[in-house]
Amino acid sequence: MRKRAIILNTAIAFGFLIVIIRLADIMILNHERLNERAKMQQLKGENVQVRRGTIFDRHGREMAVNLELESLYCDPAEVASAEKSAYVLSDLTGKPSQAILTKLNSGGHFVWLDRKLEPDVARKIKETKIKGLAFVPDAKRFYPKGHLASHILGFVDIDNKGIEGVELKYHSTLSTSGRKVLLSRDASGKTLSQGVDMESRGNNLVLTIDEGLQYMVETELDRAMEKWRAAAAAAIMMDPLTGDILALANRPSFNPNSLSGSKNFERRNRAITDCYEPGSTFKIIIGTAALEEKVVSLDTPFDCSRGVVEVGRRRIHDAHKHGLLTFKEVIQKSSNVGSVMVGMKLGKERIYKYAKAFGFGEKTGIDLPGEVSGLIRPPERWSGVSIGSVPIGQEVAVTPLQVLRAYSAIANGGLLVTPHVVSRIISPDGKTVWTFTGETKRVLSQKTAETFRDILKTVTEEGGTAKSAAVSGNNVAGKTGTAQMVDPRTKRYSTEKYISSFVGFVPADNPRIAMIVVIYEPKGQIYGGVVAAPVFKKIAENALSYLEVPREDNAGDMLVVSR
Amino acid sequence: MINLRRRSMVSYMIKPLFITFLLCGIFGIVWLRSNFTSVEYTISELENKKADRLREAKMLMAEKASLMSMHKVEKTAVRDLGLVFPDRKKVTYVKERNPGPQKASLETLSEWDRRKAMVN
Repeated sequence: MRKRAIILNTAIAFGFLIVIIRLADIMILNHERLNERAKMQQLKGENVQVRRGTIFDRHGREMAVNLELESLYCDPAEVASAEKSAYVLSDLTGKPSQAILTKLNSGGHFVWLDRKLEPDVARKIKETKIKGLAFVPDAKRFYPKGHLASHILGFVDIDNKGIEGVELKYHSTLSTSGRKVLLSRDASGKTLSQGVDMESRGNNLVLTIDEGLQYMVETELDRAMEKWRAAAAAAIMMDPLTGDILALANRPSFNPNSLSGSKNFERRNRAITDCYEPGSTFKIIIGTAALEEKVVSLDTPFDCSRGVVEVGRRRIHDAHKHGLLTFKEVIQKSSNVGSVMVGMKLGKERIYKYAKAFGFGEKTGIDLPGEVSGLIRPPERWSGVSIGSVPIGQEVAVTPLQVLRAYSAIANGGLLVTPHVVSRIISPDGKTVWTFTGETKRVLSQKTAETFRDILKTVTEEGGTAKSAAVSGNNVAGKTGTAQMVDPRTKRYSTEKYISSFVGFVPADNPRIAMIVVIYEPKGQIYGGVVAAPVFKKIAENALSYLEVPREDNAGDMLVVSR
Repeated sequence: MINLRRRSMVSYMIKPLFITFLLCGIFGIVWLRSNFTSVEYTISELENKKADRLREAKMLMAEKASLMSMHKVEKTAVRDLGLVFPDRKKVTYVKERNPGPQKASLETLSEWDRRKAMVN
């Protein structure tokens, strides 16, 4: 009996010893390895979904948002019947079955089959229950306004990386870095909540653009393109006091929601990336410089009766013979001969100095990618005929935005503003984290700016070159431009291809908007006063109504009420 | 004698009580743990539902923004409702006796302040 008890006790002790050794093996010797294996079974690493911030216009209207879609991938090793699956998927996604089959037969354990599927398509694919297919949430950038403001907004690639426009310039602001979180899961693979926000959002942008004004500008550009059968067009509307870009449009244009149908030249933001010879709109330089330097007064006479002036071996003509003109009339009637005479009085050094002061030959600093600086050669590189060309806007290359900024300086009393399209950055929780505070630089005295503004007002009055830009009820100050394009074949000025433009601001004495309209290669008419000025007028009339700017001619009729 | 009997009763009870407490404790821990897991499942399901609703809300917001685009609004106003853009000559502006920033809209107020600041 005692012997049996000893054997039993020994067996139990031995059994416990084995258990203890095994426990020691599990808990001490192989702890790390087994712990890792357990974690691999119990935990699942999932990527936090990264979402770009929303882009709003100045009144909080959504211009770029995210659509929550799903992307389809597969583990080719797990797909049972590749051919049959490829056929079914091709039918649902509209992609060629051969392309899908190639992916299904490829090696590895992860192959994208289709990205950003429409919800209906994703649902139908799920219903097929094809083994080896899986979905991941994926955001697609969507531009609810379609073509509108496409050159400002830009677009993103398939991985939501900014490629053009604000999407590119503010990519790091709009996007945020992703991370991986470990979630517990059960034996069936169901994840358990860890209380982690599985979405990481970037900052939101508030643009200076006003959707209403942008629509007006784009609508009128479309009409002008059709009327003048033009090759291209660009228009910018800006608040001359702040540099806020209220609207910026180019034609041809594109829809950022369907990029496959657009061509490269349609995506070009001509307003800031294309240079042109400004023609008469550049006379602002000699005009303001002559007044500021007191080289002329408003009534200084210039003999333009011959209608031509010789500079070196070049003869510069007026469109019509004008006779004796005062300085004011030289600008009002846009006389080339008179302008060259003013330029000669100033001298090339001072012309260059003022052109640079107005920001020509340098980037304006607008927060959009691809801006070019244009070109104005320093006086030592001027040829013998340059003193006749530069005052009338030849031998210089500018962008429409540079011209608009210069005219805004006249509108606001002599300050050069920084044009910009983003006014605020808002964090995902709604706090303003950045507000635009641009620099302004004085380039003219207020007196000169006001004097020149009065001259520009006469341009849209009787006897001026842009009567068709006059807005009923409010004074418009502005200047027309008609520039010959250089024929790339002959390297000489073309007699057929012109650029017509009008730049101005309204109401002239208390400007709310400054705007430039540039029409490239219009057919039938070439003059800025005929082609571009009416476009300015139409947009300005609608914009003033939209902005609730009262007419100045019936100020007495205004109904006065008390609060 | 009574003391001895009481002591033997206590010693007799202490083991079952200890085992009962131990079992209750183990059961309690298991029960709590299972409740945690169950709550985690529920939260997980609710989170999925929330994500679905948010996804739906985002899609609806995008659709709303698209429907509110100026192009569509103008098309509806002009074609369907027969409205026209107001003629500026026919618009009468109402001027307040004590003009100041509008208080109805914060946007207007900040815009006013910003412009004023830039002018100053």
